[in-house]
Amino acid sequence: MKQKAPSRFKGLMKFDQEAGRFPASRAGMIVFMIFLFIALFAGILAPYGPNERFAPFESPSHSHFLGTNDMGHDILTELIYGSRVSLLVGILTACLATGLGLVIGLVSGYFRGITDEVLMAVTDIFLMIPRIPLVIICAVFLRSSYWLIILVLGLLWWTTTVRIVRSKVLQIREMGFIVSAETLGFSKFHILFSEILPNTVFVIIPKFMLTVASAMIAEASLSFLGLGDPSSKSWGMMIRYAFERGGFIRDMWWWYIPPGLCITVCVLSIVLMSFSLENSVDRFTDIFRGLIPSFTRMRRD
Amino acid sequence: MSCLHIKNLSVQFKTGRDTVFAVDRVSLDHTGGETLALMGETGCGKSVIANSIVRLLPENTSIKGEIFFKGRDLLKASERELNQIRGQEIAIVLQNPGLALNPIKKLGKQIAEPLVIHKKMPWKQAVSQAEQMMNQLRFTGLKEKIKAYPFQFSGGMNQRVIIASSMVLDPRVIIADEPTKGLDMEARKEVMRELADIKKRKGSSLLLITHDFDLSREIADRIAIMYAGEIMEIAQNKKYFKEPLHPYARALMQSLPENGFKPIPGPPVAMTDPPRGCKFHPRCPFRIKKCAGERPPEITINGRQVRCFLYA
Repeated sequence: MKQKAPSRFKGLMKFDQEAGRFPASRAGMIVFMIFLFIALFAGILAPYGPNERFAPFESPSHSHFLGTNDMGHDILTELIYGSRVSLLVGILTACLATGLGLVIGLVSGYFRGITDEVLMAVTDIFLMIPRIPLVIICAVFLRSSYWLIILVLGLLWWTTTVRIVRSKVLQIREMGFIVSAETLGFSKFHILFSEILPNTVFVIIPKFMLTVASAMIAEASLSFLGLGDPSSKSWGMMIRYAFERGGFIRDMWWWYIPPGLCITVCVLSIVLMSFSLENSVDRFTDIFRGLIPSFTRMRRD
Repeated sequence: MSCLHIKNLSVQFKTGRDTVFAVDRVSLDHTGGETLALMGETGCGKSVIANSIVRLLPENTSIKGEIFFKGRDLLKASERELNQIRGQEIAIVLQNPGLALNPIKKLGKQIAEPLVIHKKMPWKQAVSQAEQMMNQLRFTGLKEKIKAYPFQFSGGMNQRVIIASSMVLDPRVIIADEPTKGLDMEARKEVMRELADIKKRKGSSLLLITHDFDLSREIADRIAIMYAGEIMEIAQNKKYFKEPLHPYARALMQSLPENGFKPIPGPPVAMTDPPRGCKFHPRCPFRIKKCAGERPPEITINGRQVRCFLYA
C-alpha cells in the first residue's frame, strides 16, 4: 500500500490530491476556474458596459487595453462578455448531450435484450450523421440563435457517451453488489439509479468535460462561418467580425488574437482537467480490484 | 413446523451443447428456528438451491418442482411478490464479501438502505437503526465505521456488514452462502458467532451453505450432505458427526485432515453427464449391482434420511 487508503479515496472524490500530483491538471483546473469567474462576474470585471461606444479602430491604450473595434466597442469588454456565451453554449450542450447519453446508456446496458438492440441501432444511426454539416444546414435554414445551436449540438453529441456508459453499466451490472441488491428485494429502478449510476460518475465526468470542450470549438467554428447568433457575441463571433470588418486587413492583432487565445486556452484547461479525472478513474478501478478479499488487508483498527 | 418446504426441485442449465444437471429431485424441509447446514463439495449444487429459493438464476435455467414458503409456491410467484419476499422474509448472504457491497457507498447507508426501501423509513431514522445494529454486532469506533467505505474494511468486517444489512429487516429465513469463504481463522470465528447470535435473538431459521465442517459442527442443528445435485443424507448434527451413514458422507469425513486425510477414490462426476442410478456408485466401495441401474430410495432410520441401498 503506497498510501493510506482514506486519503486516497478523498483524493479521488475531491480530485485534489490527484490534481496535485499532475501539475498540468491542477493548472487546468485553476485556468478554468478563472474563466468561470470571469464569465460569472463579467459585469464587475469589464471596464465598460457592453453597449458603450467610443472612437472606432483605436489601438491599445491605457483607457482601452485592447483597443476598440469597428463599432467603437471596447474589445476587452467584448472579450469578457464573450466568455459568457462561449461557456454557456459549451456547458449547456454538454449537459444536454451527457444527460441524454447517460439515460440511454443506463437503460440499454441494464435492461439489455430488445431495448438494447433498438437503442443501439438508433445510436448507430446518429453516429453516421455528419454532425458539423448538419448543424450548418440547421443554422442556415432556421433562425440562428444560441439556443438552437445548443439544442442541435446537444442532440447530436450524445452518441459516444452512450457507448461509454453502456459498456460501464454492462460491467457493473454483473458485479456482486448488484446481485446482493437484488437479493434484498430492491426494485430495478432503484438498482439502476442508486446502485449503478453513482458508479458510472467516474467515466461520465471526464466525458462531460470533453463534450464541453468540443461543443465550444464547434460553436466557435459555426460563429466564424457566420452562422452564430448575431445578437450576442461569443469569442468565435468576435473573430468573425474581425475578419469581416477589417481587423485582419488593418493588422489589428489585438482584435482577433485574444478571442482565439481564449478559446484555445479554455479548451486546453478543460481537456487537462478531464485527463486527470480519467487518471483517477484508473485509480478507481484499482480500488475495485483491491476489493477481492484475498488482497484486502487494509486498516482494521 | 415447516417454514421452507422444497419438494422435488430439479434445476438444469442449458449451455451450448450440454445440459448441466445442477440439482436433481431434491426435497428438503426447513423447520422454523433451526439451522440446517447444506454441505458438499464444490459444484454439487448447494448454491444453486439457495439461488433458486430466491429465484436468482440465469436465463438459461429450467426449474422444476415446488418451493413452498408460507403456503405460497415461490417458483410461481411474480417478480413483484418476489421483491417483497426477498430481503424482508428471506435474506440471502452471498459469497465474496468484498464484491457484495457497493464500493462507493458508505457502510452505514448500505445497512440502512433496506429499511428505507421496504419500510419507507426516513434516512435519518434508518441510519440510526443501522447504528444500533452495528452496535449489537460489537463494531467498535462506531462513528467512523458508519462513514467508512467497504474497501477500508477487511474481508471479515465486510462480511459482518453484509450479514447486518441482510438482517435489519428481521427476515424469517436467512440463507448464508459460504459465509466463511476466504476469511482467516479469526474472522471466521467472528462471523460464526455473529450468525449464531443473530439466529438466537431473532428466532429466524438459518440455511447454511458451506464446506466448512467446523462451522456446521459449531452452529448447525441438522446437516444435509449433497453429492452431484442430490441430497445423500440428512441427519442431526451430533448423530452425523458421530457416525455418518451414507458411504459418501463417510468418505467425506475421512478425507478431513484430522481424520487421516484419505482421499475419495475416483474422479468427481461430470454434472453434464451424471451416472445412472446412485450418483455415487462409480466411486463407492460398498456398491452392489442394483446401484448402477436404480436410484436408491430415501430411507429413514432413527429420524435421519439416507439415500442408499445399504440401509434398505
